[in-house]
Amino acid sequence: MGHTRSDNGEETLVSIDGTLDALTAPELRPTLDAIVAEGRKNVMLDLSSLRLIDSSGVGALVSLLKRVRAYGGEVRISGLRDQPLAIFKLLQLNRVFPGQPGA
Amino acid sequence: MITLSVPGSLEYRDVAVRVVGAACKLFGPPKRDDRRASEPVAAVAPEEKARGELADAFVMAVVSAFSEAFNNLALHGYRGVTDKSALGRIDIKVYAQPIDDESGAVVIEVTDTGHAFDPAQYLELPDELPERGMGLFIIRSFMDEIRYEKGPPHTLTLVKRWSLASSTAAASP
Repeated sequence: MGHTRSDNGEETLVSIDGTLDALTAPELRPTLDAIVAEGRKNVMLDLSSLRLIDSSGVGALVSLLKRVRAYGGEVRISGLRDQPLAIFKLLQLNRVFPGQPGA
Repeated sequence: MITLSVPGSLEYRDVAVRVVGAACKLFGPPKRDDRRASEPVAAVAPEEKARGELADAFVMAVVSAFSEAFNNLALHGYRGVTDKSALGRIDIKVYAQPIDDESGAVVIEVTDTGHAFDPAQYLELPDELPERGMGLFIIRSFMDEIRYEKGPPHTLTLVKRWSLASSTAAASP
């Protein structure tokens, strides 16, 4: 799993690639925690290069969504496809995260 | 049959998932119909596209469910084991269970000697925004059959069936 963060004005873009799972989700946590600590309100997750996600990876993203919403922000998702898209649909998260086609 | 034995730790999950995924490509729904090999490409293209989608979805479902099962064993089954040399193993068997020319199943048996964990208990999604408890839901949703034999060793059996009838129906205009 690799990830990058870039801030452009109000928006924070986080791109995640590879596998986001029980082993790699802890590597992402410091970045997500920093976004919350800084109170970033407009967060976009680019998941177009995400190949595989498991319940631990989903948990990390849901945790971010809950915390950002708690201070009035929003987390959007783009580029979801293949296995990660199937998992999001199964868990009905494509309705929870805005910005996903078919929501 | 394909067999694999790895230490019961998350570090070995990726190799286990790759082997199970590759096994599903071998034992799951075939992407090509060899009986139509002599026909023009254009004639078989729609069916092959539908078959390809069926095969990809099959592998995706099994890989998703198996990943969660492996997580559960590595995170909970062997919890509290700090001495890596004492860590138990996870033994994996993958094999095909033919039904007929148009359908079959892939069976995955996962054996471990850790704390017993019975995924047979059906778990609904905890709430609208779950952070935990989704693993068993994913396993149950993507597999057709789940069996658990308590040991030790414990054996979790996951079965995923396939049928070409569904892909042919999807390819029809």
